Formats: sequence, structure tokens, C-alpha cells
Amino acid sequence: MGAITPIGTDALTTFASALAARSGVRPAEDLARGGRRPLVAAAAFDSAQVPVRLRAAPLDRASAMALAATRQALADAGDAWLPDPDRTGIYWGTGIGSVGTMEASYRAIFQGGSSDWRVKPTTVITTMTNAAVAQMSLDFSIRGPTLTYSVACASSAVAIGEAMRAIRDGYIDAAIVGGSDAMLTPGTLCAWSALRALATEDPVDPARSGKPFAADRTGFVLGEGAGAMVLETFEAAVARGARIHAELAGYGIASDAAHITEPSSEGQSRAMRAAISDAGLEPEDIAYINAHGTGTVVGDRVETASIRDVFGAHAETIPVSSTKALHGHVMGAAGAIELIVSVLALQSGSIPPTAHLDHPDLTLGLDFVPRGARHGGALRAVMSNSFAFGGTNAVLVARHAT
Amino acid sequence: MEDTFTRVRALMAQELGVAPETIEPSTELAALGIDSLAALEFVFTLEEAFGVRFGEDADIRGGKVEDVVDIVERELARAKELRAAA
Repeated sequence: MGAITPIGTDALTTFASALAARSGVRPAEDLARGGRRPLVAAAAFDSAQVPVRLRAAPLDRASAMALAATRQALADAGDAWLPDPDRTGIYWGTGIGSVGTMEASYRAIFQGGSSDWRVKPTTVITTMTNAAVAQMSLDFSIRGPTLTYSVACASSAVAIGEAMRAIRDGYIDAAIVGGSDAMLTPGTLCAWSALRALATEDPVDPARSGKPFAADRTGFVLGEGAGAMVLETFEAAVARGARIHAELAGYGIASDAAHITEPSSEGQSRAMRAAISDAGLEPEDIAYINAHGTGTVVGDRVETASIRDVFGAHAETIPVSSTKALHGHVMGAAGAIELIVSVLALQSGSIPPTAHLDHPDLTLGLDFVPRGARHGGALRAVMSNSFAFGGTNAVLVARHAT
Repeated sequence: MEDTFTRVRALMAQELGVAPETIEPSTELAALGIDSLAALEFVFTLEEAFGVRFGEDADIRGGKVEDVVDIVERELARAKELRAAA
């Protein structure tokens, strides 16, 4: 597993920050306009430090993060991991792709007037939505399906689930999976702000502005990052003596067909039920839910209702937390990063809290893990929810590999 | 000629990640591993650095480094003439 996040430089530091409730949120002074400064959850990451074997084009920040996280995941998977390249795929998620390069390139055109419209010859190949996957395929010589899924906030959860199915169905033997997004750019921040989805700055501590499931929640903070994993069959992993983190056991996907932004409990519930059933588990087996939990009023309400619907009386006994309070909403990378957090919770028995939950929304009433991490649990299975604009709901279930 | 060559060589070396001394006026661009995409990128770099335009159909791939230097010098001279005429 590998991760570049606003709260960590790899998977383990990210998980440690999630447990310790270390926030990656800060005001972006350099993007302030009209006396208002946007909040961001930025990753401490320098694109120039990413080694590239066969550079196809200049790398956008999102692609560089993808490459860095994937290198970590491959190192973690072990040096002995030499799959058949023709039978290995890349299944990657991104909400928007290389928007940083796109904005910078086109800003020059729009500001320069029409006398000499001019961008770099590599602009297309740097900014195409599959740029990250294209670079990974070249760098790691992956010659099976190399696919980019763009499903807004559910992009990487969908990518991971579809890769699992492709392995199960015998189309491929192994896959690099995950997602990336780096959209802390003036245009994108402005667009999200116009939609009124973003959190307002906490007057006491800006780092505590993201407050999922709290009565005083105001939305989410836009984040950036990448999360990567290696999937293969259990038999292959055992045969090569790999470090196995978990079994990706279930994937459920369902669409709302109801509203472009407002979530629907019906669609979310169907996706959760499908994932649990796909894993061959019962709702009672799920011992931790990493919620989509963006911290919008309607989002938190609907997700809570969906969890109650699926889990019945058991709902109030399951720890449910949203780590978005700390790493922000990492969009296309969110599903991957939050699955990594969930898998590390499964492995360690430690459950990350929902941070900044001083004033819980009492109408919701689930166990949102306030007041710090919980340790020493024996978790049988964990679930990660990703619900997208457009109404696509993707749910992943992981359990101990045996 | 010398000045233009030195600048072209420096830009080329930087773009390719090689030492400038490895590039001679007679070096074939193909020998430097410049493919169609790299050629486009390099023309763009030269245009920005010298403030000239190579023209839409300029294809430097088949030539040598000195041919690229010639194009730059020609376009610099043309730009100078245009300025004088204006």
C-alpha cells in the first residue's frame, strides 16, 4: 500500500495521523481573494522529487502523486513481485485529472489576448484524464488493461472494485489500483465554493474546520493526494510469501438516478448490501465503517439513514468515523486512501476517530468515534463508503485474509 | 554562429539531461534520441528562448544540430529585418 496525503507521506504515517487526529487543513493565504482565504488540505509533496523511468510528458502534480504512491505500494508488495505484465492491469480513479496544468496553461492564453495563442506541445498528453495511468504503464511496464475511472468522489473505490472483479473473473492475475487528484487550484476552489459545499473557517482553529457528523458542520475542505494498492489472488500472494494486508472481499455499486448532487439513501443502502453480500458476510460482521462523511448537512443525514437501514439494530453498535475531518475530501483519491485507513484499522485493531466532534449532531445518533482513537479491537471486517456526485455509490469490504 | 550554437546546445543538453560537451554542431538529432514529441518540445523551447517562430511545417528531426542553429539564425535575422522595416 502507498499513500501521499495531507496527513502523511505514506500509508503508515497517514494512519498514524488519523489515529492521533492530526489535521492537514490550513488556510491558503496565497489563494486569498477579496479578504477571504480558502481552506485546503494540501499534501507535503514535491513533484520534482519523483523519479521517472520513461517520461512521457511533464507530469502534473496529480500524476506525480500517483506515481509516488504506486512506487510505495510496489515496494510494500515485495521485490519478488514480478507478475506477468500482459496479465497485470492498472485500475485507477481520478475525479478531474491534471487540472493544475490545465488551468496554468489556459490562463496564459486567456490573459495574453488573442494575438498569439500558445501552449506547450505536451499540454494534451500532460492533461489528458488518463495521464497518470499512461505514465505508470510506461514506468512499470504494465501491459494488461490500463484503465482510468472518473466517477467523481467514488472514482478510486470504483477502480478498486472493478479490478477485484477482473481478477476474480480471470481476466487478469494482478492489478495496481488506487486513485489521485490534485485540484487545489484557483479555478477549482472557486467552483467548489460556488456550489457552497466547502467548510467555513473555524474561528478558533482553522485546522478544525472539517466537522463531519457535528451539529456545527459546514461542509468539507478540499484535499489532494493519492492512494495505491496491489491486488492479486490469495493463492499467488501466499505462493510468493507476500506481506498480505487483507482480503478485499466485497464490492457493491449502485446508482441513485434521483438527483445530481443530493444523495439517496436507497442507492447507498443497495450498494452497502451488495458489498456485504459479495463478501459472503452478514451486516453484523462489519466491525468498522469508514464513512463517506463529507460533513455536509444532507450528506451526513442520508448516510446515517442508510447505515441504519442496512444494519438495523446493529447500526448503533458499529464504530463509524469519517477521517475527512483530517485529510479533507481527496476526491478521486478518497476511496483508495480511506480503504487503506480501513485496512490498517483491520490489521491493527485501532479505529481512527471522527475528529472535531465536540458538538455531535444528536439527531444522527450513531457511534461516530468521538474523543479519540479506540485501540485493542478484534475487527472481523471493515467497510469503506464512497458516494459520488452524479449518484454513483461504491462500497468496499475488507477482512482478514485466511 | 558560435553564440547561437552555445545557447542551442545548452538548451538541448538541459532538455535531454546530458552534458553540453557531448553535443557537436555535426551531431545528428536522431542520435540524441529526439523523437517526434521531443522535437516538438525542443522547437517550443527554442522559440521561447530566442523569441522567434520556426513556422508550422518546421521539422528538425532529420537534421543535425547545426541545421537547427541555422533556422534560429535565419529567424533571428528575419525578425531583425521586420523590425527595421517597421
